Amino acid sequence: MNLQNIGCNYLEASARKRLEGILDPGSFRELCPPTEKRISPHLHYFDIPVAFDDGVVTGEGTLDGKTVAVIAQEGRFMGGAIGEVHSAKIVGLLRRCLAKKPDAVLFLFDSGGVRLQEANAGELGVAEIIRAILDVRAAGIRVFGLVGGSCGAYGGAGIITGCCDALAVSEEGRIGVSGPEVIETNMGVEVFDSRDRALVWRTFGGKNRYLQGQVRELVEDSMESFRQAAIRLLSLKPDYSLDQLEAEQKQLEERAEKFAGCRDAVDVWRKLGYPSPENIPSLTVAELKSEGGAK
Amino acid sequence: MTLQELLPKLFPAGNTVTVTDNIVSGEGRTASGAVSVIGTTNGTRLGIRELLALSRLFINVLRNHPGQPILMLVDNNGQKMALEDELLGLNQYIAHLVKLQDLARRNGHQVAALVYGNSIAGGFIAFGLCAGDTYALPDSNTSVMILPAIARVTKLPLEYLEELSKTVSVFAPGVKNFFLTGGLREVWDGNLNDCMDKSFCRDQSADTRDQLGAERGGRPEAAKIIREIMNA
Amino acid sequence: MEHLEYRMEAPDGKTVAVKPFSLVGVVASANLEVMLEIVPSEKACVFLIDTAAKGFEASWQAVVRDFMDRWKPAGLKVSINDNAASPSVVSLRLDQAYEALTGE
Repeated sequence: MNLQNIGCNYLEASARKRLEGILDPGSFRELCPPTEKRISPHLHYFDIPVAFDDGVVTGEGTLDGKTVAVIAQEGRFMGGAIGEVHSAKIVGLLRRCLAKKPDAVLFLFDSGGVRLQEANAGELGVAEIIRAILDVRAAGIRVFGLVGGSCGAYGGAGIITGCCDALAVSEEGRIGVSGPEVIETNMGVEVFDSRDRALVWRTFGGKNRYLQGQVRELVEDSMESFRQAAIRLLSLKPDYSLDQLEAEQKQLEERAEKFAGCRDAVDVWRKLGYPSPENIPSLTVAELKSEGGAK
Repeated sequence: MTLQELLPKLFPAGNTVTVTDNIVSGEGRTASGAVSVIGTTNGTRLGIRELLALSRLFINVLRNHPGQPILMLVDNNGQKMALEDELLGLNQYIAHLVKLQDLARRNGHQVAALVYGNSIAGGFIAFGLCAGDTYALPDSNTSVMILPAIARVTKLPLEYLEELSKTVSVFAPGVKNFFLTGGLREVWDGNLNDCMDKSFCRDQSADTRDQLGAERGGRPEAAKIIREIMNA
Repeated sequence: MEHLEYRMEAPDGKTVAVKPFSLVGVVASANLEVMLEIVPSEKACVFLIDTAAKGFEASWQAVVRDFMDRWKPAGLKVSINDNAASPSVVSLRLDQAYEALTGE
């Protein structure tokens, strides 16, 4: 147990604090640190202040003694949005793994997606990140995603989570493509009220994703829980193959068929076999897992 | 250009491409053999149904047509924005499809995407930007978000953004901007069959878009930073 | 955005750093990030400030002077990205950054 994690939650911690809390104490070395001042070359056109690390921390360290390469997005800078420098740091870190061959990559997501002020660079950056992640996986190195920050993983970031070997997500973590406001605009507030926090969490949150089998580890919002979940993920075998994608196709087709027409997670959970699905949001992670876990 | 106008230009020797529920599939005939065609039309939005159908087509080529080149025909208005799709993990369905595009290339298929209509935001990532190489017709529409919407979100005047986009290629829609930032390998003008044949001879083993973005000036920093971290 | 630079002489100052740099805060609304580095060959302290709030030069000068008086540092390079934080928040971050750098 990492003693400095006692009493620390994950949601409110900065990107660097999360890395310090998850990695073995003192093992973290930052690559392209903020002292390099690799700032956005484009934000000044929009009169927006830059960040010295452009909202993402990249580096390496150890987790339970195993070497890991790490990426941690800072959700409080522009909503963790992905621009040219931000995505280049991630791509560089991933491509570096092909030579350095760490045991695994940990990607701490906290991003609403592409940065509009650098939309094209962000969009291409997402595609380059996906390609680089798959190159790393094809080389037999596992890539694990952690989701539990205030921005969750939306848009391009949401898509990237689906390209990882496995995910650890807290109840507070959210994953999606279009955000709640966009769904409300498209479907009307009667169908989806983006200000209904309970609804947003039921729809996009870690519990729903976990119960549907999209997420491997559901954790509480504490630094130590995330650390322990990441250590457990390290024991997973890599598998990026046509066989695995065919199995995934079957799972995805079954899910689409089984829950066709469902508009609320409660209906999904009822069909999954939970007798009192409306109680699920109030269960702790431990209580939920003892109810039988993901079906 | 419509799909019906496009197909004979790409495949003067003939094709067996059909459209079902806006999903395009079939084969095109070329001098060096058959090309698998997978795509969408009518500016379809990509939701779970479309993503599963496109994924099935990729799996079929991977299992039954080893080594066959794949031409992705891109015309979509972005990801579907529906509660039902988000509830079931739309992000995962998109990720599944892009993994198949990537695996096809890894397994020896040349995978080229041609934008002939629209390609927008999440839809462009899902189907277009994760091919081995991405191309576009000059009059097609590649976009993350339209300028009036960017103006609204950033609270800047539209006229300012329009003026800025004449010299800065990182944010505004358009084939020229995606070319300058390195996203498009080429814009296909002239003989489309020739362009396609050439595209299937390219080395797709490395992602060189960051370098293209640096050479063409649209992304001045990315390639440098990538190299720095790799060598740190 | 406004760019401000100050060079503060510190002939009697002293700073002993326990790490190569410190970074506190985040560039969010009404907040700022402050990065401190040691410049070994230098005695003076240099402040490089990029701020989204224009026209507050006097306020920045006061905060910088107070910081120099409070800690009497030497050889610092202080880099700031500010998104319209109040002077008290700026002072707080400068103090936090100095404490992190010197292990106080």
